[in-house]
Amino acid sequence: MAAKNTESFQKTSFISPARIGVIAGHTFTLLVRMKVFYFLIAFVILMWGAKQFVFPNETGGSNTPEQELRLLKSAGFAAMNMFSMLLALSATALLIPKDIEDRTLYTILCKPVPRLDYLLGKLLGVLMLIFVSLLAMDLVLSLFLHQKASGMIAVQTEQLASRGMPQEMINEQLAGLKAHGVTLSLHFATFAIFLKAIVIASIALMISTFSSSTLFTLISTLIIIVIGLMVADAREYASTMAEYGQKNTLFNIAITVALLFPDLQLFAIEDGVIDGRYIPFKIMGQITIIALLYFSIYVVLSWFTFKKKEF
Amino acid sequence: MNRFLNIIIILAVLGVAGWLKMPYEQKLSKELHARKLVPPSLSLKDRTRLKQKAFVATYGSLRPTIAAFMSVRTTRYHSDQEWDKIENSFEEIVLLDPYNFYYWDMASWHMASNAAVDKQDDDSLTEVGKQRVFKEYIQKGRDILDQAVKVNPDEWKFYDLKARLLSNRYRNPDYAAAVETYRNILELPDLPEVVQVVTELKILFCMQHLPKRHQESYDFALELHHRSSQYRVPTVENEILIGQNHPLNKVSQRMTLAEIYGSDKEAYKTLRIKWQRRKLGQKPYGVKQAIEELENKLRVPQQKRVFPHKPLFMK
Repeated sequence: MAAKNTESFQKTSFISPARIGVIAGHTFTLLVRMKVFYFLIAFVILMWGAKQFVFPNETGGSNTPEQELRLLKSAGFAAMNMFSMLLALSATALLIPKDIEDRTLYTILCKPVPRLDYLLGKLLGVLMLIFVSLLAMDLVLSLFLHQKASGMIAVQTEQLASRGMPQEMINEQLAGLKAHGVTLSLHFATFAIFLKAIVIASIALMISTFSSSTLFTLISTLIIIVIGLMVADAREYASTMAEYGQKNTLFNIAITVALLFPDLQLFAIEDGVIDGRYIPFKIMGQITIIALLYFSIYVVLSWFTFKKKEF
Repeated sequence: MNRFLNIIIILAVLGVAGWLKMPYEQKLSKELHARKLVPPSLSLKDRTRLKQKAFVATYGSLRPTIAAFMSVRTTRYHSDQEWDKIENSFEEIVLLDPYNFYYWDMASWHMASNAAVDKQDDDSLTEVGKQRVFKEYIQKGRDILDQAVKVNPDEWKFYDLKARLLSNRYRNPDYAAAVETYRNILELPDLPEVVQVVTELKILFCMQHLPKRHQESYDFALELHHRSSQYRVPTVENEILIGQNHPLNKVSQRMTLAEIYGSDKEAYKTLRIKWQRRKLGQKPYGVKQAIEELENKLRVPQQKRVFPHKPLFMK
């Protein structure tokens, strides 16, 4: 019997998409049952509130409709960021400890399931949940934004035309307003938030594989996120100091930070979208590559520590 | 021991991976900053100024939200005429959302218009003191816009805003600086045609307020008039007429009224308005003569003339 089991283990492929899919699906269902989607109600209320907000139109010169659209996007993206970060952090940090507590881990690992498949399945389950949530939030944001922007464009067109403004000038004014409406860049920004969540979840997973406490995992990941937001500054400082040949203690700290921590500022392109800027496909592709790179590194390192872990 | 070794291996792998990805990340980061897709880095001084807000704002997309709520709060300061608080608030707001035109506009408007004018009613100040404070607040408004242009050097709206304040005749105008600022707009790439046309007209308008630049102003107006029909507007047409009648100008091409304005009727309509506004801008050389000539030519009734014939005994 033991020999048969060993043979079965040996025959097991290293990475099986089907097996990973089953574990991911199970994790996703488990998380859905935790009623995480209730936050969507809060998100809709937030969006509705932001949609009602009217900026004080004081100067008359500036375009306040644009400001209202900016605020709507800004509030939406802030909520998306917050939610995806919290979920990536907490759900991933709880993955392994919860499986140990429920004894599900033993049931899975005693079967011919490679540990990498288990980790990937669990992580993808969390990421599926974040993806679905962000998709829903993106739809809600787009809906509110479209409603508000189209109403504003109609009013502005009428107002500008009544002032006798030339059509070219009207188009120029409306182009600014349209850039703040629903665009492809808006969805790209949501995707960038998802990519950031992938990186955060992968870090949390890596830490949870060698940490013995959930609290430690949460705090450590949070610290890494905070440092990750300053990596760009550290890298810039280190490169400037290197140019001047000044390699002091601060340079050593900056270079260590730049080497060991992920640069989370690279994913903060939603700020550009809030400003009404266009995100090219090339940039989106580059950011995706970086996110996948981080994901691969952290998953491999998680597997490295988890493969020999005894329970 | 095993766990310790694992951590060392993890750190080593992260270090090597970090070393390999650093050039790629640095390049990407620079491109994102150049395209203004990510917020600009805050200096140590800015971080100190923003206190806790700097930390919260570091996480994506919270910056504009915080800035929006801070700007709403300034409405109360505006009602209470607390200009120092407005100044401080906007200094932080523009740090949080530096690419937002609205905040720069609001900040300079509060300083150069509201605060400057409000101080004129301050009974604790002497007349000289009121003038000094008036100029100081206008300068504060200009300094804010200088900063705005520095942060957003590739956006015409910021230059335009700055030049508008510099050429505002109620705000201690500096037309020469306004001309230079408007010229900066013309150097920007991919400028919409309508913006280019309007900017050139604004340059001419500002030049007309600089008496020493009469020749330059005339030459520029002539060039615009010949360039396209888009420039056949009263500012250009009047400048050509005044310029060719200026005693110190070298006139390259003397034009008739019909050539300048399109027709005698149009010329009369435009010049009547110019005469009403004769105290603004340059000295209206030749305008009076042109109106008199047109009134005779078009047989304008006496009661409707700007310069009606006077009875002989009154002459």
